[in-house]
Amino acid sequence: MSQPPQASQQQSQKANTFNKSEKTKDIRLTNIQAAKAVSDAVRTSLGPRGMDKMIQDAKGQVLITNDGATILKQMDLVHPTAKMLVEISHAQDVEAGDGTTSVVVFAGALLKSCEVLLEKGIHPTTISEGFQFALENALEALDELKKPVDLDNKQQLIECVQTALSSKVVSSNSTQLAPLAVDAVLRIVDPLKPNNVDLKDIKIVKKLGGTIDDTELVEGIVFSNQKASQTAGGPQKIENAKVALLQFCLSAPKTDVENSIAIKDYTEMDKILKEERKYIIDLVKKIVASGANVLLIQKSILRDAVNDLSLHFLAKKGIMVVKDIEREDVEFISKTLCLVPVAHIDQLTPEKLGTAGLVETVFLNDESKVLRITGVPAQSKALTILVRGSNQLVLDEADRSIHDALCVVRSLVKSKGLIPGGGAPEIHLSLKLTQKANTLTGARSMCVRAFAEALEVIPYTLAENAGLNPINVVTELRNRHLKSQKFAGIGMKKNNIVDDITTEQVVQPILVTRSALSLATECVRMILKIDDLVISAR
Amino acid sequence: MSAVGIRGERDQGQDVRTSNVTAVMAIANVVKTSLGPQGLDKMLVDEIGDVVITNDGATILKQLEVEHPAAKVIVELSQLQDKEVGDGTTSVVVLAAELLRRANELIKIKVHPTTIISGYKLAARQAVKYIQSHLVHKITEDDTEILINAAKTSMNSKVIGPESHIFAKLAVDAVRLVKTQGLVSGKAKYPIQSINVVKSHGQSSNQSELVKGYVIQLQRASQQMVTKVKNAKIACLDINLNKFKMQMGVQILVDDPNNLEKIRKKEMDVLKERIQLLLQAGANVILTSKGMDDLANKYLVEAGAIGLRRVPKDHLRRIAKAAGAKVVTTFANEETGESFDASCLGEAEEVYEEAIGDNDYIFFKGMKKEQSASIIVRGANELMTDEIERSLHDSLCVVKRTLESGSVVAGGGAVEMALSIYLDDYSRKLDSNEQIAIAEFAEALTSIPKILATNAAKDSIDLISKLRVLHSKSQSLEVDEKGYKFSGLDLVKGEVRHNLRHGVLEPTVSKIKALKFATEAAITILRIDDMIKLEPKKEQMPGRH
Repeated sequence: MSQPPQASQQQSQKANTFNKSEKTKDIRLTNIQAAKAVSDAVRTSLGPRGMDKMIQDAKGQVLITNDGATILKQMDLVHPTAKMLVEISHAQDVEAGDGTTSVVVFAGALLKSCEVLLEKGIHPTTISEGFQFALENALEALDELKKPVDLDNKQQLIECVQTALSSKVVSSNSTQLAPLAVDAVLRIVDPLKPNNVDLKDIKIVKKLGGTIDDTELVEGIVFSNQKASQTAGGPQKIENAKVALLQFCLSAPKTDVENSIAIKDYTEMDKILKEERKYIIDLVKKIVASGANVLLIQKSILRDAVNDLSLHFLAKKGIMVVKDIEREDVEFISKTLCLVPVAHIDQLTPEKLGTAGLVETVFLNDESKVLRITGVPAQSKALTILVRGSNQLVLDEADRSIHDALCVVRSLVKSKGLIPGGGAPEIHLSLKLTQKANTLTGARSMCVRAFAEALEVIPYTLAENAGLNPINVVTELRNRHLKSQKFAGIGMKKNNIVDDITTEQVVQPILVTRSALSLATECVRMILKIDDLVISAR
Repeated sequence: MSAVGIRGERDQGQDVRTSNVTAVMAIANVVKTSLGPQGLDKMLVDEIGDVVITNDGATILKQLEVEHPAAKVIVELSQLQDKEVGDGTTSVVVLAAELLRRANELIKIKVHPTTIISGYKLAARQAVKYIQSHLVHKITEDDTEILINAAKTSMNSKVIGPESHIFAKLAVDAVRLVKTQGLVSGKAKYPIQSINVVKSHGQSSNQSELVKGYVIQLQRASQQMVTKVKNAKIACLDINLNKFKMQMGVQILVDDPNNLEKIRKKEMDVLKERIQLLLQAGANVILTSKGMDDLANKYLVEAGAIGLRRVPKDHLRRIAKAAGAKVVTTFANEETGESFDASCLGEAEEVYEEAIGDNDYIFFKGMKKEQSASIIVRGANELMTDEIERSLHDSLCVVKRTLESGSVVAGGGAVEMALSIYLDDYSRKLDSNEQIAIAEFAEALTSIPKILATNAAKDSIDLISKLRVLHSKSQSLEVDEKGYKFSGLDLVKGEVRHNLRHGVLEPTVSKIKALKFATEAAITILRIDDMIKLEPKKEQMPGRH
C-alpha cells in the first residue's frame, strides 16, 4: 500500500496470474491511493480561505490559481485513475462552472471510505450500489434546503456570485465583478428558452494593464489585438457604422510559385503597374457601392490581407479597416452585429452588412488602445467583458474567475434554486443519510453511513483551511443541525459558526452541489469496479 | 515521482513558503544597497559582455535572469511600478520582501496565512487613507519650485545627483512643453513619451540641454544636400524611393538589345516622376521610412531639398503629427496613375542638420501643429548617458505624476515612519487576529528609513529612534504646528529634519501605488502553499513500462 503506484503496477504485471484475488485487491488499492493523492493535492485550495497553487509548466510558464479544474489540468497527471478525477473536475467545470475543487475533494473522501468498506470484506458491487442508493437519497434531501430563485431579484443573484468568487485571488473585487457577471448573463437569456443560456454569447477579452477595477461590460465587441489600420491615416472613429466582414483579401493576386509573368517590352511594365491598381480600385469601388464603412477582414495565411495600395484608397474613402480577425471570432461577430460574412467581392451586398452605432479606437486610462464596437442592433444578444489586470498572472486568474462567476449565474438560470453554502448542505445531508442508514440493515446500511461520513469532508476542509479546529467545528455543526438549525454553516466574516449562513449572504446554486455529488459518486463507482489494469506496450 | 504521479517536483506547505521567501529576499538583497540618495550603483555584465551601470531597481532586476517563479513575481512588481509610476522601483521590492519575511515568521509561530493576508490588506487600506488625509501637501500647477524639488529628490540617488539642479529644471520644462488637453476629459495631460531623449557621448553631463523641437539622430541622405531649410514643407513617406523594380513573379525577358536600354530608362523614369511629384507639391524636406538611392538624391540635391532615409517609423509618425503632415504610403490615385497631394505636407519653421559630438542630428524647429520637446543628453561615455537617460525618465515620470495628482508627500522615510506609528497604534485598538499582522506591517515599513540610513553609513538605530520620537509626538498632538509629521532623514548630515521645507519630496501617487503594489505582491506569494514544477517535455514521451 505504501508503494508508489508506478512501482506496484510494474509489480502487478509481473505477478503470477494464479494469485488473482491478491492482485485485484492490489489494483483497487493503488487506484484508490492515486485518486486520493489527487484530491489531497487540491484540498488546500477549497473555500474562501483556501490557498493558491503555483504551477510551473513544462515550458517554464508560471501559473498561480485557486481553480480546481485549472490546477488539475495543469498538473499533467500520469496515473490513469488520477486522470479520471481530473476529468470529473473538468466535467463539473462544463456542467456547473464552479465547485471544481469540492467535487474532487468529495470523491477523494468517498474513496477513502471505500477502503475501509473493502477491508471489511464488502463486495465492491455492493458498495457501488449502496453509494448509488445514498446518492439518490441525498439529492432528495438536498431539495429540502432549496430556496427558489427569482431572476428579477438581482441582489440575490449577486450574493450567489460573490460566494463563488470569495475564494479567488480577485475576491476583493467581488463587489464589482459579481453585478457585472449577473448583468451579462441576464442580458443574454433568450426569452424563448428561459432555462438555458449559451455562455459563448459572452466574449471575455483580456487586456494587460490597469487594474481589475477597470474591468467593464461592453454591449458590443472589443478587440484587444486587432486595431484599425493607421498606416495610411485611415479613420479611427466611425459613427453609424455599416460593418462588412470580409473573408477575402484586398491585395493584388500573386502568381503561383512556379509561374511567372514575362515582359518583353517597357510599355508592358506600365501595364502591369496599372493593372494592379485597377484591380484594387475595382475592389474598393465595389465596397464603396455596397455602403460599408467599416471592414473587418479575416486573417489569411496565404496572402496579405491588405496592402498599402488598398489601405490608401480605403482611407481616402473614409473606410475603416480592421485586419487579422480570428476565424473563431467570425461566428461571434456575425451574431452580435447581425451580419453575414462575405467570401467574395461579388457577394458583397448592402443586406449582408451589419450595423453599429459607433466603431472607434478607444484609449484606456493607461494609454493602451482597444477597438470598440458599440451600439449594436437591439436584437443581438452577444456582449463582451473587457478584463484588465496589472500582470499576466492576475489577468489570467481574473479571466478564470469571471468564467466561474458567469457559470454560477448560468446554473441559477438552468435550475432556479439556491442552497446555503459554508458547509451547511453537506452537514445536513450527512445527518439525513445517517438517519436513513439507521433504518436499514446489512452492508447497504454500512455503505450509506460511509457516504454520510464522507460528506463531512467539505466542512472539515473548509474549517481546516480557515485555520479553525476542524473537529470542533464539524461536531458543533452536527449538533446544531440535529437541533434542526438546518442553515447553520461556517461563516467566514468572523470565522465562526453561524446559525443561518444565508444571513451572511453565503449561498450557492443548487445545481453546483447536485452535479458535484452525482459526478463524484459516479466516478467512485467506476473506480471501484475496476479490478485489473492492463497497459498495452507501445 | 510523488504519490500524485506528476512528472516533476512538488513542494508543499512550509517548504514552499520558506523557499519563496528565501528567493524573494535574495532579490531584495540585490537591490537593497542602491536605495536612497547615498545608495550605490550596480555593474551588470550580460552574456554578450555588454555592461550596464545603474541604480534603477527595475533596470537591475530586468537584467537578472531570475528563474524562481516567486522571485519572478517580485521582478514583475518592480516592472509594474516602473510602468505605472516610473519611480520607487527599488523601495517597492524592498517593502514587499520585508512584508513576506515577517509573514513567514508569523506563520512559523502558527498564525494562519489567511489571517495575515486579511491583516495586511486592512493595514494597506488604512495606510492609504492616512496618507491621503494627513500626510499630503497640496500644490498647484505653477509651483515650479516644488516640481523641481520633487524631480531633484528622484535624481538624488542617481549618477546625476550632483547636477540635479540642471536636470531637474530640464525635466520640469520639458514636461510643461508637452502639456496637452485630454480629448475626452479635458484634463491636462503630460504625455512624456513625446519627450524625445537623444544621447550623445562627449562633453560633460552638465552640457545637456533642452531643445524646443524635435531632434533625431540621422544624417542627410547625401552630403551634397543643403544643411538647412527654412520654412520647411515636410513630406513623410512610407515608400521606397529607389530605382523601380517589378514585383516578385514578374520576369523581364529581353530579346532586343534596344529594349534593354528602354527598360532601364523606364525604371529610372518611374522614380524620377515620383520625385517630381513631391517637388511640384512644394516639398523641400522629404522623410521616408524606407530607402532613398543615389538617383533620388541627385534630384533632391538639384532641387535644394533635404532627404532623410530610414527614419524609424515611430519617429516618422511623431514628426508627422507634430508638423501636421500625413504619412503617405503610395502615390497611386484613382485614375490608376500617380499623384501627390500637397495637403499631405507638414510645416516647420526650420529644419537643419548639426553635429553634436561624433554624430549628426537633424533638428525640426517651430513645427506647425504641436510643441515638442527633446532633451540632448551629454556624458563622458555611453554607460553614463544610458544611466542619465534612465534617471531622467524617472524624474520626468515624477514631474508628470506630481502635476497630475496635484500633491506631494515628504521623502526621506517620513511617510514610512508616520505610517508605521499610525498602524502600530491602530493595531492595538483591534481585538481580532489581524492585530499581530498589522503590527508586523507597521514594523516592516520602518525597513525603508533603516536601509536609507544604513546605505548612507549613518547610525540607523540612533536616527530611527529620533525619527520615531518626532512622529509619535506629531500624532499625539492635537495640532501639529511645527509639522513634525513631515520629519524625515537628512542623509548627508545624518540628522532628522523637516523634509517638506528642505525640498525632499515625492509625488503622493507614487507612494500610494508602491504601498498597494507591494502589499498585493506579498499577498500573491503568501497565498501560495503548493508549488508544482513540471519537467520540460522531452521529444519522446517516456515509456510507461
